Amino acid sequence: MHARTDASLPNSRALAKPLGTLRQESEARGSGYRCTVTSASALALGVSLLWGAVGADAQELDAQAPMDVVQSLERVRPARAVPGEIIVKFRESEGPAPRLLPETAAPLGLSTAAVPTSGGELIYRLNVGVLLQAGSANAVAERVARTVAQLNARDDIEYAQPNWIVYPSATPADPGYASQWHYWLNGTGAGQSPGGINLPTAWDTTQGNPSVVVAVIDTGILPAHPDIAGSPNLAAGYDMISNAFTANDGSGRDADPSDPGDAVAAGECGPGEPAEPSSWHGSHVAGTIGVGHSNNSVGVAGVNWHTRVQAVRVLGKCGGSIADINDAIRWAAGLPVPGVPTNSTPARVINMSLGADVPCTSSPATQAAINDAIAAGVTVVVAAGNSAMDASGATPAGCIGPITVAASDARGFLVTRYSNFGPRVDIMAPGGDVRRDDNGDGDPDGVLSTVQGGYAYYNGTSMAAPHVAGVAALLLSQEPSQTPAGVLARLQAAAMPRDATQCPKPCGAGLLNADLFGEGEGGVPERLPFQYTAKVICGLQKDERVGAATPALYGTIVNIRNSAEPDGETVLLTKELALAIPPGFQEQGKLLPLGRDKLEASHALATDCDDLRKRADGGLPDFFDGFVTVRSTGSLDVSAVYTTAAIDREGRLVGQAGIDVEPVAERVAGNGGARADLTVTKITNLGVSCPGGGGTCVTTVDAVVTNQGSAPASLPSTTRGMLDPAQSITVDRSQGPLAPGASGSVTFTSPPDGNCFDPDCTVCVTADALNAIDESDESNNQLCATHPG
Amino acid sequence: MTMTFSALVLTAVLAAATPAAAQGTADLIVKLRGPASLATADARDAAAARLSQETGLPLRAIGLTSGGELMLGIDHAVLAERLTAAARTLPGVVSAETSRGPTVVLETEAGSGPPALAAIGDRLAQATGTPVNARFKGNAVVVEASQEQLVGQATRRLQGLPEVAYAQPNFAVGINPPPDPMIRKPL
Repeated sequence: MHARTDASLPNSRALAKPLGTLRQESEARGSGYRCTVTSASALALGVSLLWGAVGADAQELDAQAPMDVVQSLERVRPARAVPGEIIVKFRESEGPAPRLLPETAAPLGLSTAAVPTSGGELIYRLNVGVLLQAGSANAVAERVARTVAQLNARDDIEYAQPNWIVYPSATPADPGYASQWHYWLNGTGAGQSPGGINLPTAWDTTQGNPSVVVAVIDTGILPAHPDIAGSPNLAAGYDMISNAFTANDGSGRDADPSDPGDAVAAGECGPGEPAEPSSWHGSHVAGTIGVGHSNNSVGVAGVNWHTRVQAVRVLGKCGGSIADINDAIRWAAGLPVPGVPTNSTPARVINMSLGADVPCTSSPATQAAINDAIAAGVTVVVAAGNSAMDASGATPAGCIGPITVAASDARGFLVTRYSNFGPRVDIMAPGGDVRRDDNGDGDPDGVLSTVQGGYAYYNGTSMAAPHVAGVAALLLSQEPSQTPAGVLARLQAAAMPRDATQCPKPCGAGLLNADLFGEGEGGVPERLPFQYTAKVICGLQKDERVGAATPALYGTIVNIRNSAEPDGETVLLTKELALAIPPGFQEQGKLLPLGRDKLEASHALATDCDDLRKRADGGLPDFFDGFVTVRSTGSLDVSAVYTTAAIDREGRLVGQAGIDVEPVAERVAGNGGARADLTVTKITNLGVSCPGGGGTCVTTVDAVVTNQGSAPASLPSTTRGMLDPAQSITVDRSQGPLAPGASGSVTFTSPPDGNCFDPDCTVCVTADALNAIDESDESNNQLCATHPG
Repeated sequence: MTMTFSALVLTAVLAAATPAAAQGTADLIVKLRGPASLATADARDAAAARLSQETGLPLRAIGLTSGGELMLGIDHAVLAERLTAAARTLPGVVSAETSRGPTVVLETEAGSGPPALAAIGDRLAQATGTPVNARFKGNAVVVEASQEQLVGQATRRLQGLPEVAYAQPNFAVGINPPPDPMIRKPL
């Protein structure tokens, strides 16, 4: 951007924006940056320049206060060019320096006034009338794109382009941020970390929203901490600890979730148990999510600069009880809890950095509580656990429904010395490793956050989970209608995949990536297993020598539909265009990104030739032929509609020749579409024996699991048997890999007192109960059988 | 000839699985089938009495959870009474009295040693349906009824009842961090 002064700024109404944005804008001006820091400020300044550049007209328009236009421009993040500005480079020629003449500029909607650049280009602007007629940033951008295309088609112009805005990524001013490698851009350059989660890129788009409440079910909060005191990010919470000894605050449940400490003396938690200092665990976790002030030049930053963090206290001296935690889950979700006032600010996200090393099947009450929270639209995030074991053996990590988070270090590797792992892990996030200093900064590579008396490095999956909860909150601040399943899908789609060296044991979809919003490379999900490729042919083709296309006017519409039921999952998709014709076109052989879309269940969208031209920034010729590739997080119905209109030798339309509709085949990345399909084909030999009398009966049953899919089930899976009554007797058996068509047998034996007959006995067996295998049909995994007593 | 051998101290619940549980937190979470309301204390007490009858274990109602589950605890007083009464019926027992703990004073024949002690434990367990462990402590014999074992037994018996949808211990939960110290960072 070129010269600007404070005087060129529009009035303050146009600059209404978060404090952090204003501060950064001020710093940017003061330090003489050529580019502004945030989109909002950049757009505002861009508009102010526009007003300033058009002289009297602008003054008049400013007097008319077209604030709706200005404010709409400010609000729109995707526009990444100075509104209305075009950089034009004319070809070298003899004579006076080339410029756009009025008769040329007027039809293009351009002012003839131009500002020279250091590169010999001229910066033209759309005239004010055109800008106001457009009325929105998107419309302005589209108009600029069209004009750029028209200019590029001229022989006397070497190139024309929008005046792109380049943003230094937003970083908070907190001094501790220099040690919070876990937030940094992922990479190895300056200010980057291979263990970073790209938060600065996300912060360019959103720093959170106070409407998104994140509940931290933990040891409580330190409201007087210097980084937390007076923070607008601290919401009212609750102390859900029933037991006064555990609570350590002289009472049972109450409305004060302050953390009085959880220090214990030797033996206080049982014979042989050592003394422990207070952990201040809840404040550390909440600090990562963003309970404190961020970007305030004090302490550390949080994942969210603006959010509401709600402390729900369940852990105290010697831990806590699962009953209190179950109640806390429901309370945080806004559901009733006997004897406790209803939560007036229900959470959209719950973080639980806690656990017990018992499988979730042993705590059906916890599964029920989690089910209730998810049904209420709450995303539940849990730590995988720190026992270096399969997370399926822990609660709530092994429960169905929550996002289970393993821990990574500053290299982006799974911390194998403590982090739980396995098929129940959905994603990995920085938990740190205080025994390492891979970034060589002289500090341990832990996660830095708030504790009593200051700040401290901790490590553990407890620290990993709040990174995910925080990013989920950022996502919800932008996409408030996301469901818990949708949040997980978005996070997994964007995750940075890990190889076997980085994750020698299963760590889910990979390393958390907060870059969920941009349109750049980092914003494109890397896990888009579904792929559709549709032929496209567009435009007026008059030249018989061009390709195989007969001279005609061609049109293509690619229809994309998410056929899931209305309450099904939203699918994220990207579109790319590969050009085959015209030969020699500068983009031939390249993939032109066409942006990305979200498609809610039972919704459809279409891409036609005009859309392709617009999405390709106006850089396409009149006639082109190629392929549109759609890649998506879920299965879609894709078809292409082709229209052909005949033309005469002069290129005039002489009538419509035909319409053709073709379905587009689905391919699944990785194995050409072939997938395993595990199903239970047989339940046999159901029997009960009571060797010790009527009270010690044991039920046994055999089942056969078959892979009826076209690809091997290459990972071990869990086959689960559930025996009546109430299927409360659950037995898991490991099933090894199964080739296509192969079967495996398992035998389930109930624990003592497991008499299934009451009087009948119903047995349900589920293949791949923990969803370790990607199957072509996930709905046929269970078989039930009832035997009369 | 009989003589006082030692004091048998029966402590209904020792060696708690978790401090939280030891401090009186409810022991069991039980979800009943059907529409029966547990909203009132009377209804919960009635349900606990019914479940006690059906499991053979002394249970008392503690409360109701947000999931509509019944919170149950082992009724230590009733359990102590049962153990004391059972101890009094054992061969060789002269007296068994309950006091703080509860405590049973036992008189038996001279020469009784560890084998007799083991037999006492087995007989008490059999007579009361309660898992107990007997051991010497000074001049007394201590019989411990492990809460972990009691809760496990109660859970299994409750799970076997048709009216119970699920039953589980009220597990202790913690932060379980890796064994690393807090490392402060001055800012």
